[in-house]
Amino acid sequence: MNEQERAEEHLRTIRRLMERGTIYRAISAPTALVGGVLSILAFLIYTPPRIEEGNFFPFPAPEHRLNRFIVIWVFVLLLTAAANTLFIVLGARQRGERVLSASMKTALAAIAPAFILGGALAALFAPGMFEPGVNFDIAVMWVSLYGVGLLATSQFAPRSLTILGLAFLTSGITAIVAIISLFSKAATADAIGDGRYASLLMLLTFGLYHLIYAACVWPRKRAEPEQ
Amino acid sequence: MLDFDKLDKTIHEKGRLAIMTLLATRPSWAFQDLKAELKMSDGNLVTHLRTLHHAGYVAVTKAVLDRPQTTYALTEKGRKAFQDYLQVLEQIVKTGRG
Repeated sequence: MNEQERAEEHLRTIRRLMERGTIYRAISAPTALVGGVLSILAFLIYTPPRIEEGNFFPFPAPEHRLNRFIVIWVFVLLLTAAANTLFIVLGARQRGERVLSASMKTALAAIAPAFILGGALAALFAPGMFEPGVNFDIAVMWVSLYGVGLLATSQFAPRSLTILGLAFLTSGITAIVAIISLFSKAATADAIGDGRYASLLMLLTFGLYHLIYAACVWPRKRAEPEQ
Repeated sequence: MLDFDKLDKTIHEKGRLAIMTLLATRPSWAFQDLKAELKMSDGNLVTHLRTLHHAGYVAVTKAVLDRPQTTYALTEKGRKAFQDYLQVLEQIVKTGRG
């Protein structure tokens, strides 16, 4: 190995350590896949599709005897969080590292305020969960705050995670703007009231965005360097 | 012709280079976090940190929170030395390519 090769080797080592010290992916591809699939299942459970002739919206209004929206999505959150924990533990064991690494602690501290606020506001909305439209308010809030939480890690997150955060935040804000501009229309107001749009918003964001993210960042084997 | 003799010998050791690199990424690092990240033994890590501290590159802070904790940070001198070290490395690579 000549001097240049040794210098390049040292620079590679420095870059790798810099990335390990500064970059942390708070949401792994397998976690995103689990979250995306569970979100699709949650959508289908809450608003099972029923194709009817002449019905533009193939998802009938959910029955309101018991508003299951919060319950179903809290289940999705818990199951995804459990899967994430499992993946983190397995990954740390595989690499021979501590589960609660310094990077993970930093990421948790960054994400926590937005996630805690999302939980607290959902609790605030909970007493009115039978009122029309509250599902949509909660969905918009969760989507937006999830985006804010992800963006809070952007100082040390890979670019893909920042883009995911931006997508969530933009979707939340767009949904708010759409509601303000469309609420006067009776049909839209009905759909918001019965929870179909809330369910669709959750499907598009927590379902679709997570699946796209998982597909984009799924670990791939790198080609062996040519000899 | 640039060569490795121009590199700072204190930093130019695998273990100490790794420590300096990690310390450059954050304001400070706890001993246990450094140890976990670098997978070094206590004795090895302490020896390297002591060398860097004696060179004036690393500042040590001891605090007792719920338990005693020692944190390490790059000093201004250490940050400058690390940047100079990187520049020399890059020059070596550029010279070799040219």
